Amino acid sequence: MTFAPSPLPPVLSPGRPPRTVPAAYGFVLPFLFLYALLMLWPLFDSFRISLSQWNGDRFEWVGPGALLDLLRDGTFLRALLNTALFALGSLLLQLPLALGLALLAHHRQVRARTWLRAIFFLPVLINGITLGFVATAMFDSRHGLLNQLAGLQIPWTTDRNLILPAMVLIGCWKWSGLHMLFFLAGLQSVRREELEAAELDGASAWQRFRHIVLPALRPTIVFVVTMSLIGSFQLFELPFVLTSAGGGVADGARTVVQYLYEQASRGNRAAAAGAGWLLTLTIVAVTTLQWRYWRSRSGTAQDEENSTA
Amino acid sequence: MSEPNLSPLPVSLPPPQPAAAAPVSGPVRRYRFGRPPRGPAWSALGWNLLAWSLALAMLTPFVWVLVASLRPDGRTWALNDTWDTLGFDQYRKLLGWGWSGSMGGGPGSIYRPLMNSLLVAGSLALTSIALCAGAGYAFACLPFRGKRWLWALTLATLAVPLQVLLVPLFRLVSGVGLNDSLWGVVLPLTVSAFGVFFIRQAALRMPRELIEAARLDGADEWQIFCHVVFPLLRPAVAALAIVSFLQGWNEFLWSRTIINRSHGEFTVPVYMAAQTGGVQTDDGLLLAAAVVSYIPVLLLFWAFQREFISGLTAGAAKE
Repeated sequence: MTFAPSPLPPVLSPGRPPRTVPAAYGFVLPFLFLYALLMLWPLFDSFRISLSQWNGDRFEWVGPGALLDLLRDGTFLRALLNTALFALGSLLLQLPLALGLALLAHHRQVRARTWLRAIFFLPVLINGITLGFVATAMFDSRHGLLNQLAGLQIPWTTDRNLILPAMVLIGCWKWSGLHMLFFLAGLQSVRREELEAAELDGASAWQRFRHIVLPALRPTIVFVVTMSLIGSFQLFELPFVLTSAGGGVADGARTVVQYLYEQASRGNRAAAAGAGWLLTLTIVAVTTLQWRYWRSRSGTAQDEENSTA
Repeated sequence: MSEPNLSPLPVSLPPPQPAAAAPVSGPVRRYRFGRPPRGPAWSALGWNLLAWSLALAMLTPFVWVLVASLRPDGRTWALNDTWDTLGFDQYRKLLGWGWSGSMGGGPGSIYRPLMNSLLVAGSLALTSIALCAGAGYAFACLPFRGKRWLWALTLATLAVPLQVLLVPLFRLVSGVGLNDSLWGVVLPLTVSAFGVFFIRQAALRMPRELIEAARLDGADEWQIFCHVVFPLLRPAVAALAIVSFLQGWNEFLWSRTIINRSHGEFTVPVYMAAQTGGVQTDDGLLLAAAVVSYIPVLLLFWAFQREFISGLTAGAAKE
């Protein structure tokens, strides 16, 4: 395909370092404009609101004291605790499960691996509200499948201490397939020759896993932990449906985003915005700490390799 | 008879090759059929049993919800009822046919929410492509002043969840008068930095020769984008479209926030959530709604499995 010939713009002639292609702004501006309008400005505004108080007419700047009020609210603190517990529990359960599923879906003796992958992945596509209904269908004290099969009446959804474990289990069901896919992608980077050489040298399957597969999966593990934590902190629809938006048991299940939603719908916009900001800060802090941790771990591994070389 | 297998390895090796003819250095693995043997049959059985029991366990909630949604009113949760009681009563209610109105006012048919969800998800997919394809390409391949800090600005919000922006976005969008409208739902969702990030990743991997050739031929940037870049980026763009569609279909929090007065604008998740929390909930109806909201996604996944997976695992594989 040839185009109508025109002189080459001097900025792009070969041998010259490019400076600015004006057309690039045309490509980028639609996105950047909407981005500034709908993401950056609200972000800034949210920060402003969280430090203000509504005096009936407009927002009045109060300062960090408004955030301290938030931290003194027992409901908020409980929501924070619930969210943290959920994130931790989900991570501890899902990481090994997803890794196991990935190894299974990768194992050459398993038949119809593509179908297997697809089945494990199906729950990921469910929306949050449906997930709440599924959770009720499985965990309801009288009608839930688990209780019916076991012949018991465990009050999963009505006991404030049992509802978090139920949520963790359902979250596991939903998200393990996605994390399995991440691990499957990471498993591609495990080198076949190393595994075969280890096999020839007499390494057992567990030894091969621990010394070849796991180190190769390190970046994937970091990624999965990050995504899992970020996702867990944003949990909303599941507890929202399970507790039907309120009630005593809700204290055991309310997450930070649910608290945010409740405050916003009651008109406490400052509290809602403040909760949102604390959530963001928590996510950023956890992610950064997590990366630092893994970087320091891999630092020592490098030293080991260098010293034994 | 063959000698007993004394090797500690879990895999039975083929008998050692005669060393005579081939002039090779180092150990050589030669397999019958060109690949390693699959191992003893009992180990294969074990792994398959494990894998497929897990698959069955994963499918159980689906099956349970599906069967329960096919039961008549009041028998939703029956575990041992016979097969002949299964029917589509709940679905008929859901779609508005044969609605008996026993809930005093009824929830209304799911037809309108379905159309709304389709509109939201479809618009989100199209606008995501429109906004992010060009921006991703420009950030990856075109030099322009301020590119570095603009990119940093874009990346900065990658970890920011939408919930943080709930209150100010609501004030902004309803201030413009877009509350209770589907465009009010779609627009804030289109400016996720993830889309640009994803396209940029794909654009960085493009072969540059075609672009250079088009430039030497004298094409302007827009022509290059339309005729060379976009076709090259098609898999990534398709993946972004699919993931955006899924996000629009499943989105609840923002839709629920911005649509608060007009029931006609409900999307499917909002419609479903509106059925809960009442004094008496129609369980069968809820489950039928859940099934109906999932089936389109399932069909889409069937058709576009590769795009789903590549879109959702972006960033996971080490380059």
